[in-house]
Amino acid sequence: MICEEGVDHPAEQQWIRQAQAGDREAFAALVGCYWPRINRWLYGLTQNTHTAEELTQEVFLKAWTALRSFSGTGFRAWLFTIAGNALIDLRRSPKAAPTQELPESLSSNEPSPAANVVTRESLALVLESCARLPEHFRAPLLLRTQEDLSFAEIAKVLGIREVTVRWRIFRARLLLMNELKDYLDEKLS
Amino acid sequence: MNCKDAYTGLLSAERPDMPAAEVAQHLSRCPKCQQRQRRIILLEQELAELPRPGESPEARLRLLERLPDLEPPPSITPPSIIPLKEVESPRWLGRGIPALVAVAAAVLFLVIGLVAWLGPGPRPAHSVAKDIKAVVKDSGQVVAGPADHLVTSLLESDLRLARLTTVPERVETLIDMAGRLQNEAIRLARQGQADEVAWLHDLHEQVVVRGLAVRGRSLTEAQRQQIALALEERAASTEAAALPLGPAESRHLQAMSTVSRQTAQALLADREPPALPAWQPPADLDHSRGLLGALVWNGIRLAGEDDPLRRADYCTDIADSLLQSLLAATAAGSPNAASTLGQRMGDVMDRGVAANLSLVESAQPDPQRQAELDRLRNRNEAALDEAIKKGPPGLQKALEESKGKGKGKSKGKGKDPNFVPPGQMKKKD
Repeated sequence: MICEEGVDHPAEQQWIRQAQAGDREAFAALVGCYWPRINRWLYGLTQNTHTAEELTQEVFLKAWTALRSFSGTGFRAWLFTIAGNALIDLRRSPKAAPTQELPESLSSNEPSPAANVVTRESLALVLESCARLPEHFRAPLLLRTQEDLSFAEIAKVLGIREVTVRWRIFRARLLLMNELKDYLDEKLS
Repeated sequence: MNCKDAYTGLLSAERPDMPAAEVAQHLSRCPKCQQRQRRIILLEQELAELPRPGESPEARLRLLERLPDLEPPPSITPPSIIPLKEVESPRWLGRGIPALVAVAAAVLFLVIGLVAWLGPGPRPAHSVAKDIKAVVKDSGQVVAGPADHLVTSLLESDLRLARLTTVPERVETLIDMAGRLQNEAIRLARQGQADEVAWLHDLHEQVVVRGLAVRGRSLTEAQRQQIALALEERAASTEAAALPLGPAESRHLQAMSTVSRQTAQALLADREPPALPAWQPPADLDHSRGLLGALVWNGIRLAGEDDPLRRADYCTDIADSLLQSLLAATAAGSPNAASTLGQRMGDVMDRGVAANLSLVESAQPDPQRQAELDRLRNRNEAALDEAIKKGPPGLQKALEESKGKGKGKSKGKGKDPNFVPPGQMKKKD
C-alpha cells in the first residue's frame, strides 16, 4: 500500500472502505497520497513550515476519527475542507500569529542548488508575491492551480458560492499579474 | 467584445487556456490579449510548480503513532463536506458575548417560545413549518414548477437577509437574487413571454440598483470590483441570450444588461447608482406577480436593516403576501399550491419573524418597542388564524394541532387564550 503522490489512485476507494473499518495500514496509504498536497496548501496559507506540518497532522487525525461518517465520494475535497477548518481554528486560537516568512528550504524534488540560482530567485519572486495575497484570495487560487480543483469543488471546500470563488480567483490573478507582469514578460521573451 | 472584457474573461476563467467562445474569438484577432493570455497561463504554471515546504521524515510516522487505538467511533458525524466555519461572528453577537453562548441563547428563546406556543402537553416542541411540511409530505402532492422555483429561491434569500448582519454577506445574497431573476427572465424570454420578462426586468432593476448598488457602496474597493465583475459577467451572458430572440423579449433583456453594466461602472467609480423613481410593488397585481414583488421589495428592505424588530416587521409583510396567495390558491381549488404556500408561510414565521422577535425580547425592549413587538405578534397571530380558517384542510389540521394540542381546545373557535406565538416567552411568563 504505497502512494506517494498520486490522487485518484485506483485502490483509493478500497483504502477508504478498509480505513473506515479501522484498518490503519489502509489509512496510512491514504495519508501517503494526500499528505504532500494538504501540507503544501496549508504551507501556502500559513507560510510557516512547522505550522503547516502540525496542521497537516491534525487534519489527518480528524479525518481518521470522522472517517466512518464520510459518504464515500469526494475524499480529496473532504480532506481539504477539514484542512480549511483546522486553519480557521488556528487563526482563532491565542497562539495564532501572522507569519510572512519565506520558505527556509526548497523542496527536494526541485532542481539542485547548483543547477540554477536564477530559477530559485524567480520562484522566490512568485512565492513572495503569492504570499502577499490576502488569504481569502490565496486559498482558492492555490486549490485551482496546484490541486486542479474545479471552481465547484473549491466552493464546496471553502463553503462559499461558486461565483465567489470566481471573483476571488479573478482578483488574485489580477493582483499577481499587476505585480509580476515584467517578470512574466521576461520569461516569455 | 473589447480588450477589457476579454481580459476580465481570461482572469475569471476556470481554465485561461480554454476561455469562453467570445473571449477566444477576440483573442484570435488581438495580439495584445494573446500576450495577456500567455502571461496568465505562465503564471498558473509557476504557481503550480512552487516549491513544496520541507517536511520532516518523522512527521507522518508521528501521526500514525498518534492515531487513537480505538476504531473510529460511529457517533462522530461531520457531513461529507464540512462547511467552512464563519470567520467573523455576526455583529449582534459582539460586545464581549461569546458567539456560541449567544447563538445558544437565541435558539433557546426560540425553542422556549415554541414550547409555550404548543402548550404543556407531551408533544415535543417543533415548528409550524415542520408540521405543515409533514402534511405536505404525507399528501405527496407537492409540485413545484420552474416559476415556483423562483418564489422558493427568492424566499430563501429573504430569510437569509433576515438574519445576516454583514454587508458583504447581504450583497452576496442580493447578487444571487438578481441572478435568479435574470435566469428566469431569460427562460421566459425564450418562451416568448415578453410581459413576464418586463415584470422581471422591473424587479431585477430594483434589486441591482436599490439593493446592490446602494449596499455595495460601503464595501472596500476590492469588494466593489468583485461585484462589478459579477455584474459584468451577468450583463454579457444576458446580452448573449438576447441575440437570437424576438425584438420585444430582446429589448427587455438588453435593458437588464444595461442596468447591470451601469451599476457595475458606478461601483467601480464609487459614485451614486443610476437614479430610479420611487418604487413599491403595485397593490393591484395578480397574486403571482404580487408575491414576487413582495419578496423582492422586502428583500431589499431587509438588506439594509439592522434592527431585528424592523426585520420581523418586513418578514411579517412577506408572510401576509404568502397568506394572500394561499387564500387565492384555496379559492381557485388548488389545495396543493395552497399547502406549499402554507409551508412557506410557516418558514417565514419561524425563521424570519420569530427568530428576530426573540432577539428583540432578549434585549429587554423599552415600552415603545414592546408595544411594536406586541403589534407584530398580533398581526402574525391573526394571519395564522386566517390561514387556519380559510386554508386547505391539511394545512388547517396541522396548524390546529400545533396551536391546540394538549390544551383541549376545540377546533375552529378563534384564538386560544393560551396561544403564544414563537418568541413571546417573556410575555407568557
